[in-house]
Amino acid sequence: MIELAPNWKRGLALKHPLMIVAHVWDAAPLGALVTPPLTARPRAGAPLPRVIEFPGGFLLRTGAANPGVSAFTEQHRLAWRKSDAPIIVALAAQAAGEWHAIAARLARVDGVGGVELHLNPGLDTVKAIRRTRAATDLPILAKLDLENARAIASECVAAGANALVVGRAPRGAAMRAGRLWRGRMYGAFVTPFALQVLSEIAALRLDVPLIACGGVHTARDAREMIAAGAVAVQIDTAHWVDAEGVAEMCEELRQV
Amino acid sequence: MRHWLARVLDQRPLWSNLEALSLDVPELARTIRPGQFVLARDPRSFDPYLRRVLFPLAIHGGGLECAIDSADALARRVQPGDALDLRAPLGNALELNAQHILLAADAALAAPLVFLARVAVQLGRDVVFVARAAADAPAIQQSLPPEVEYHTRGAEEDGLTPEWIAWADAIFASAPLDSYNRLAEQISGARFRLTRGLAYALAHFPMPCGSGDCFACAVETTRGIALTCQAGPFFDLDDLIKKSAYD
Repeated sequence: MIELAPNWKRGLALKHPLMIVAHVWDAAPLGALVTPPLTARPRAGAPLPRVIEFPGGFLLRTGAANPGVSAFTEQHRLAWRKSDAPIIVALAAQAAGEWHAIAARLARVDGVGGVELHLNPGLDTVKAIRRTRAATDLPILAKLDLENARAIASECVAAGANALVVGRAPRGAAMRAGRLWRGRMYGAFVTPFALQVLSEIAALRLDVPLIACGGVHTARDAREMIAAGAVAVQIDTAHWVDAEGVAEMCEELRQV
Repeated sequence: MRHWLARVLDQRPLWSNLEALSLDVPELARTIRPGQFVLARDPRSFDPYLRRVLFPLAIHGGGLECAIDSADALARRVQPGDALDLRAPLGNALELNAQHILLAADAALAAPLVFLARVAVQLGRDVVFVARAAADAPAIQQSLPPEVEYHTRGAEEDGLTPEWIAWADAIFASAPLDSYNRLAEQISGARFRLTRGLAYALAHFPMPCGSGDCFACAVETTRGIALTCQAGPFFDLDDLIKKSAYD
């Protein structure tokens, strides 16, 4: 078992080191399902284009489009109740006060094992985590931007995060039709950056579990992340393009 | 939805910037329905990285013919004999119960409606196909069964006439999202009002995951935020017209 919230009154134990960012996954055993980032209210998302490809990856700019945490939870609560793996609900926010009420409600939803807070730059990180911590006993995973993870990792732990996810996809830009579009970059090329940042956070010895995320597409990528200090690994876009490969990875890593 | 490994049988040019990929995947060819789509990638490489949305164009024997942008990296990469990794069928199949079916498309987005026209004719429906496509008109017509009544409209003209709209029991459209408000106005003008269940519009969004996880295909409808890959890709026009992603 991998415990993501050691020393906390409500544990978050994984049977497997792989966590998949998806609302449903039945292809292979895994450690946890992590929802796509949800907000308190529905968001229609960004104007087109939302996806801009480049060799080996793509830029995604959804504008945090999502149906809202209530609608999403209602839609999936039966499946979550039956899920063998814990559900971790990812939350995005523009302000520090948006999470605590949601987290308190999620604590009463069967199957939900924790919340993952997506910490945007500009957000009062400490205040956001503290308010959420005060509102729920669900384990809190703080998902840090790869670009500023080193700067805020310690304060996230001090504020009450039970584990750190390292991290959110790096930002990039692409020029299309004479216009600059900004978004987050995904693809296997992110792995070296994520591995570097992970190793630096591990060196801080913050006494919380680290979860790697960024560009992981193979069992070898995942093993390297674990060797660098992660106890678990999140898969995001890899299963969009190669779900069968990810299922094989789940089988391969079963013994890790 | 399931995974398939399909061999590319043939590639041929269509119209506009489209080409047809003929795929050897007989079981899928038997099961896929109008309105549904395929997500495809080259299993040998992560470049191009994302899966492509392919709409069926026709079924030939056991082969499934799909349309793809000829400038797309996947179209440029694959050749006859290559394998493609498919996830399909995705999306909701359309009901073709109406007798008089009116199809309206911009040329570059017409492929999904060509398949619909073919199936509708097989079911004995009366089909009128209207394409905004002066230059591509002959090529589109050649892709349609001879039973289909085919018309073209200029880029500056409204897509449909009041007579066609009044004739139709069901209308299906494939055009840019920001054109659907005008289509709704035309239908309302010809039939007094737009009723639910009459007109359906294809929401052209990127669908990188096809599983409802990336939210890149989120569209604001009158019934809330919907994911095109899960709730669509065709929506009741009445649900789409109030607000669009282009607002």
